[in-house]
Amino acid sequence: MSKVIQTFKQLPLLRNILKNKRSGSIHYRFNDKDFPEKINITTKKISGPDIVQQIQNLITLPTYACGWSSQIQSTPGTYSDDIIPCICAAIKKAEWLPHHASALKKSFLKMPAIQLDIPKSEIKYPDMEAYTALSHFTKNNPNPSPASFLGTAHEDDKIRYLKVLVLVYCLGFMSSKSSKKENIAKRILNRIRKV
Amino acid sequence: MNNKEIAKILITGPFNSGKTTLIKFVSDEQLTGNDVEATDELAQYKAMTTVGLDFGVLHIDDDLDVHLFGTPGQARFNFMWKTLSKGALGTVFLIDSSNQNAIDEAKQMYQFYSELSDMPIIIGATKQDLPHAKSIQYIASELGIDDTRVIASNPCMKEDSKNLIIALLEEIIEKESLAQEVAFS
Repeated sequence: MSKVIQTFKQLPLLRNILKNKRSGSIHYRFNDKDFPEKINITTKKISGPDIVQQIQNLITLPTYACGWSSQIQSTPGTYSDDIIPCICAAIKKAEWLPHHASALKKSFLKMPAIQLDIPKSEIKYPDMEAYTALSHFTKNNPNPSPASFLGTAHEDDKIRYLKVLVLVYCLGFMSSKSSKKENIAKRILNRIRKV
Repeated sequence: MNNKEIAKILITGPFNSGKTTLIKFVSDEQLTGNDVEATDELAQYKAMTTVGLDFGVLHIDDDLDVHLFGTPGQARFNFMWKTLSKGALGTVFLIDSSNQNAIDEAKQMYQFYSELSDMPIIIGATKQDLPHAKSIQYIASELGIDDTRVIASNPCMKEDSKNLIIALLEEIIEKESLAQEVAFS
């Protein structure tokens, strides 16, 4: 019997959706026997506690399968102001089993040096101390990798530091330093199409 | 003082593959290398060949220029390949599909470039319109790569030259954007 592989692949999916401001549904299953669950992400006004609970459920366990279905004729829009607080609240409330936290941490340990690109409008993450620690860390280190950031955490702060990494990752506020290359390539691409 | 950022793209490949022509089509300014009469075994294929560098500049915006370096195709200049590839975004690798000697040389060159770094390389198979041209599948198999990585291209057609650079840039973007996703796979 083949082994069910569960990973936190829903995080890059959520990140892509939020970064590109898409409306539609995330479908996911934690294992091959469960019925799929669904979260609607929309550019329209969304209600508080339900969506917070749903996002919290989504990020708490590794998934067996996850996917995205766009709304018909969906085009990138602008999220109403409450999506970011919902994500913040869900991540703050999330609790992982130790081996899941360890798997999540391993994913961040693989990442290269990062840079933060935080929008001017201040986010209200309930753990601003950890958020500020990450912000200072990326500003004051030449090669600020998630691994070295997590390495600065005291034992009691490890999960808080992991959560703030999940937060900036999912909201698309974090990119690898090498993504500078991606930006340059996009600018050249736009220009060369006009040559 | 000019503080423009410079991005570098290499155009490489064995002799007579169309590097000079490609750079001409995608540059705003071009400094051509010295065209000299081809000697030795190259003379049977081409009367003039580039010795030294082809160089083109494409102005992107106020803050960014692209420098296109056409590396000399002759194997005796391979000491330059390593230096030129440092810091490059990626490489367009052109191969004359109609010449088996060029394909043989391309195999060695391609191996050299692919071992230099993990920068993206796009292969342009030129002269596909000539009667004895080898197929895309044959060239891919000779290089040991998937045939989706080889694009038929006529550097004398501006659109073909552009499309090769576009394919390279798309590969760079895809590679960079995937970097953070694979961490969770």
